[in-house]
Amino acid sequence: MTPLQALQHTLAGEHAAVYVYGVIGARVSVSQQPDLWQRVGEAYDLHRDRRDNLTAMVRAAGADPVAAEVSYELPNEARTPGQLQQAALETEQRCAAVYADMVGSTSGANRQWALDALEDASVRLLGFGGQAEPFPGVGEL
Amino acid sequence: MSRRAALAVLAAAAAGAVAGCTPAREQHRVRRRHVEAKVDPDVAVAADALAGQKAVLELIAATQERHKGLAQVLTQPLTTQQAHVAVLARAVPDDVSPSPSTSPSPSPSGPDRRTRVPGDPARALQKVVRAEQDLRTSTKRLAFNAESGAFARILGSMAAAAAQQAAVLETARAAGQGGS
Repeated sequence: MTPLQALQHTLAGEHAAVYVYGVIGARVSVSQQPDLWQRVGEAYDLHRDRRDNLTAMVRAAGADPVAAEVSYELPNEARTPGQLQQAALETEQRCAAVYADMVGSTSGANRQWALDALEDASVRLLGFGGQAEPFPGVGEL
Repeated sequence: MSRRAALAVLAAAAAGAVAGCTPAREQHRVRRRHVEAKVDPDVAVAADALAGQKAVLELIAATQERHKGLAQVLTQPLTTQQAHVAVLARAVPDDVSPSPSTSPSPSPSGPDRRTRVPGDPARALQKVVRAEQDLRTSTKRLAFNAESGAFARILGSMAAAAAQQAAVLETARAAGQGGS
């Protein structure tokens, strides 16, 4: 994967994350799950910012940023509080894997960006019920 | 990428260091240099990463030994450190040492300060949290500097794992699991 392909791949992942968090955020009850509602809202804002960062990074590399799909398949039905939290968890896990791939395919400031994002996703998923693991984002180890 | 392939990246870097093509007329001059000068850059990075992981592993083990009440909360960090050490150790030849800035310096007055465990359980747990935070920072720096992308990816994951452990242990510490 070239550095530009890695940027586009990560941007595509952010498009998906923003979509999924938008759906989750609309379905979480602020009165019944205030903690989850806040965590989802923070994650939505963060991934939207990252999407914008990556769009600028792709443009800086001289390419047209990959566009978002019309819709994305949710990780699950995302109806119950448990399903909503699980969907958020799986979104962060998938993002962590994408960021890890970006670490391996970039250098300099772009690699640093990916390292920071990988760390953030790895810690953020703990707030959605995830467990610490020896190699977050690197499934084969 | 399979585990075998990931390790092959590290092993290849190590092999390059050991079997580097050095013309005979150059050997005398090379021998005079510090060992780091003839080590593949990523093997040197791996040696530094291994030293950092080992130091935290030793601290966690020593903390578990001294404070039995912390044994359970430290089980997962211990397992993680062991996994990291196992992967890195296979990439670092026995004759490669970490850079002086990362290798523990022996103290004439006793054990290395970094693995000295405070008598108070809460302070001991806090010391492990800080060690994980420092490990996260140093491992991220190594990942940034790694020449091999595949190796950088693994180091980045190790740094993220240290961040996870720091977060989990800080939560446990704030919940009073370290005692008073």
